[in-house]
Amino acid sequence: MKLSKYPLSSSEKFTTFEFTSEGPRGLIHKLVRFQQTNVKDIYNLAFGDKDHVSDDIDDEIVSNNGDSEKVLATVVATLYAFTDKYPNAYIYATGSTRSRTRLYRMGITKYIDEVREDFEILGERDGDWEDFQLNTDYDGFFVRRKRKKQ
Amino acid sequence: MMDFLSDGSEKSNNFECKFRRMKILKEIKKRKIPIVTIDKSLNDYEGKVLFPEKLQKANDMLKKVGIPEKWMSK
Repeated sequence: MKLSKYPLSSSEKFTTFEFTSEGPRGLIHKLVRFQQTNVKDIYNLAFGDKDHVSDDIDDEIVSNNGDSEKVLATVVATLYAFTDKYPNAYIYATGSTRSRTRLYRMGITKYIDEVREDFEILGERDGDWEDFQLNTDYDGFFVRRKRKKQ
Repeated sequence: MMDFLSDGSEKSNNFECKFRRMKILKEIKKRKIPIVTIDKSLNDYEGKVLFPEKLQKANDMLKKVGIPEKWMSK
């Protein structure tokens, strides 16, 4: 995606990423985490704002820093970095609220052609998985990096 | 004379800094695979569950819905 993104820093294992959103509300530190679930190779993607004083992470806060597209593009960039390191990983993502899940869906929709070049993406609906379709509400998303053709 | 020199070099440094930053941002925009700087302080988060509710939600989904069948066979 040739979108503006923020510079990223990462832990050595490439499972925790940090970047700083810049906007009218100032500098907001964001943390992205790929957390191992109970099932091997399946990770949960979550991100939120980091309080630099207390180090607490809030994934429900609405930052309103006027840069949601750039933030989303940066989170997608972490997907590239993570799946480069862990090509067999499956990543599950859902919003902390329904409206946030819808926001993710809208973000995916906007760049669906670019996303599909490198990732397979499924949507969770009525307790099942289906290929991601436009204009459909989902409870969550499953993503994996496309396998390189031999 | 000294003021002129110090002022001039500072301006030049600022310009170089801005130019370098613009170049980096342009490169970041162009790349799909991002440039990532390793920050060892982030290793402190490795053993922690940062978003416990989200992780619970993911584990519940895996129990109820499971892994997509079409991905199981590949």
